[in-house]
Amino acid sequence: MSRRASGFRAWVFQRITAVYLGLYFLFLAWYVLFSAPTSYVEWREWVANPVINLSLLFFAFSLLLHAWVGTRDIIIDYIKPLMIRVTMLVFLAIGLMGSGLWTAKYLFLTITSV
Amino acid sequence: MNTKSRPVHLNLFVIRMPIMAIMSILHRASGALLVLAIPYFAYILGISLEDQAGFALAQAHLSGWFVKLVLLTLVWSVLHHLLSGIRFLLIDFDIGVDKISAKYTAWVVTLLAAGVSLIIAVIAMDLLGGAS
Repeated sequence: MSRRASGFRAWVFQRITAVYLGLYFLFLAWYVLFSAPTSYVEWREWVANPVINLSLLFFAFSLLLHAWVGTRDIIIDYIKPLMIRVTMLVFLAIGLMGSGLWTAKYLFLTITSV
Repeated sequence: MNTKSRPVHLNLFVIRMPIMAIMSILHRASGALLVLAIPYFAYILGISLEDQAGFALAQAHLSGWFVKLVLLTLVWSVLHHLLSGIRFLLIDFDIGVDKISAKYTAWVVTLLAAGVSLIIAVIAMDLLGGAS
């Protein structure tokens, strides 16, 4: 894919994920403010609900994609030396993927183990 | 055309900074802060789901005053990022593009995010004071 097309794809991804993140964030804020879990069992049961579990996983995925596109833009704009730029992008990618895998692991464990 | 010899004038203290520019810079800054918080929240989510002890640990951790200060910064970040993001999306759909409304909405976004954060800070301080 050409550079222009991949830039356009990132632009579209950024906006689609933004809409989902915005709406889901309002839902999460509502949950934390008005029905925050008071016990481990309650918290775990909420996360183990299939709809919640899947939508949380999608939230995490959208967040990482959104964070990658946005931070990549910032790094490309301000960090000019190529080696430093690439190093920062690599650390960013590792950090985001690590966070994503960690989150996915616990979301998955919550529905599989009792 | 030789573009290398054009004057570059990027002194932030000299160039004009309308509220739209300030709001836009804060959109980036808040986004960067939120990205830095991602590993932290992933970690907290993990240990809180691990077992009873992990949940208690996460609960105790989140109620510390320093963490509350960090969380407050993130509350402002997410408010500003969300509100200015909605504004940018509307502008993508040609809503609020003219100079007057763009300036007006930039003020609304910046002041609303800061104001709501301030109110939340006061409420949180009140709760902390009441608890001790």
